[in-house]
Amino acid sequence: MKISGAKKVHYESGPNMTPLVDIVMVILIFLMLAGSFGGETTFLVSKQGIKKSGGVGRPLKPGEVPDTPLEIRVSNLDPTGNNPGFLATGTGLSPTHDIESVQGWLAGKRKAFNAAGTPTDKILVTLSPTRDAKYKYLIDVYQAALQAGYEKIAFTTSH
Amino acid sequence: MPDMKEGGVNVTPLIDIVMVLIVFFMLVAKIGVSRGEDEDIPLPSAILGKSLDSLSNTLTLNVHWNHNGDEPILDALVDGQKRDLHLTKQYRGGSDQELARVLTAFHNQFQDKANLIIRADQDMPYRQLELVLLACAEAEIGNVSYETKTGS
Repeated sequence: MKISGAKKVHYESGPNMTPLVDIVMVILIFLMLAGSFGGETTFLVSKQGIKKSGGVGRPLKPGEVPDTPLEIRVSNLDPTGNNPGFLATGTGLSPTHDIESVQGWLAGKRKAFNAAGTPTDKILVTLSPTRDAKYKYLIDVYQAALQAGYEKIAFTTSH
Repeated sequence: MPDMKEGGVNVTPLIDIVMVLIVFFMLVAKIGVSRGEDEDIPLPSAILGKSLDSLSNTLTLNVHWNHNGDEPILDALVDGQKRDLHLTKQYRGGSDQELARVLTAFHNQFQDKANLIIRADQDMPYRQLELVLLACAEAEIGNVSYETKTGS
């Protein structure tokens, strides 16, 4: 006599939640990644420290060739600070609030220095702000100097 | 009711567990590397900013615009604790610390590799930031990184 074995019994008491959990997890990870990338911060790295306005920086080591300074003065376009914008000026740069003009002037200066035998790494761009100049405008000019190809950029004491 | 065929190992629970572990480690990593940065500070925007290779030799200094005074309001994560810092020597004591002392200790610890991250309010007048930069120069910290948010 053949005795049939007991059949497996599967209890299905509701919808299968597993795919739902998987999808929710994927969405969660996506949003976490998107959130962390959206709030990403970066850094403008300077190794120059602060210089004295119009003066020299740290004392030179024996045999060290001093950097060629290139000063750019930065102030708020509106001295009261109520209206946005900055004003930049330098030797050969008429006062301007256009960042493209500043960048063009800086790039032209660098080419002229290079043509005269001064390598870019021996040029020190000094940002000389007024006391009330807003930090964000200084960052804008700092970036213009970076875009113009300069490697050494420093802030000076205010004027 | 028809018989259900099972053709192999069910990997669904494995995927679920792996997902949970990924989320857990992501959260732990995110929380574990806190530099003490104050998210309320509106940072200036920059498109040319770089990422730092290592944050192990950095000190993040939060520089708030003080609307009612000449000195900025400063705080940083010092010895694992968020502390208010002061530029002048007449600080109140307690958990507060003097900026110059913190910067000097930071420089002594990492020497030339010390990298100060300045997280300053984008609308702050330079006269307040200047005081911080002068304190850095006095502590002989040459590497200063200005933290910016990405975008124009």
